[in-house]
Amino acid sequence: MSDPKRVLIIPCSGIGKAYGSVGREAMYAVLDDLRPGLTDTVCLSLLTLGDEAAQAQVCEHPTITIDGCPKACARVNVEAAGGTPAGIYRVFDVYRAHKDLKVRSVSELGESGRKMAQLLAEEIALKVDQLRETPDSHSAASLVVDEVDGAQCELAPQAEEN
Amino acid sequence: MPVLPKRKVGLISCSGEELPAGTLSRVAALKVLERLRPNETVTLCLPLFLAGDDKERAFARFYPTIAIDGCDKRCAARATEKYSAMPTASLVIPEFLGARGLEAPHNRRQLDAAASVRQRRWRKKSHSAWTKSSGSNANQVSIKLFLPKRKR
Repeated sequence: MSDPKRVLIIPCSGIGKAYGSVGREAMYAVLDDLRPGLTDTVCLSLLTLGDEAAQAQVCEHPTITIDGCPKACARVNVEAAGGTPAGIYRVFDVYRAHKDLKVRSVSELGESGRKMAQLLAEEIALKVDQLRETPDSHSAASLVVDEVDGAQCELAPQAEEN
Repeated sequence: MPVLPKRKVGLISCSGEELPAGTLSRVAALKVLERLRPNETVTLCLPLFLAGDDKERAFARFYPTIAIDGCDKRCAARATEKYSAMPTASLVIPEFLGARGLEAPHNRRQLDAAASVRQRRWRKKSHSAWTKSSGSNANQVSIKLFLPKRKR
């Protein structure tokens, strides 16, 4: 990863939460479809376990975090590793803006869940462009998310399994 | 005779976002949780576990766990051992695939078509025979887990 302007996108691994899967899909949509070659990711677990190479990456590159639950593991762990997220996103905020979209399940997002991921990915792609144009892209997150009661996030609905 | 609480097994997948094998570890854990053993397993979120969540760590300390790792850095197994207790079983995807002559996935976003076909066949086969009462599957594909070496 030689390009210092390459933006790291780190989703939470949220295996037990459908919104974790949405965040992960949004990250891959940016990396593979929307901004290939300009973005990359790092394993969150590796970062959290103290891997020096992973920690160096989040300190050297502008980083965007995506979280699927109020515990905000991605943001918290990037900060604990010495990084300062330049963009902080939560899947729940996408749901708040598009309440018609409901995720089917953790392993199968369904059409609405994929749409939710796509919307989030498009917003993150714009943030990537902004970070690459900004001279000092290591500054703290310019996107300030509204504080939401954690319980509210937990109760976000999923579609019924068919 | 007292009714004892059901002893669930915790699945700790590395989820490794960077690697196709990380995606495979995640998909495998979810298949077990949602389809193969829905009432006998739970998943533990590894970053949450690492970040110091008491519930996740306590579970892994007192309940049997299976760590599923996508690479030889073995984040899931190492973290479980460091913060709770040695995982009851540990599985590393490249070793698992290599031992069975299976090709590693190439796509980290989703499993490739060949893997999906294998998965559907395997699911059909395992669904046809597994029963809760016996807890076993006559046609079950043998999965030998890589048990961690005990410290002396």
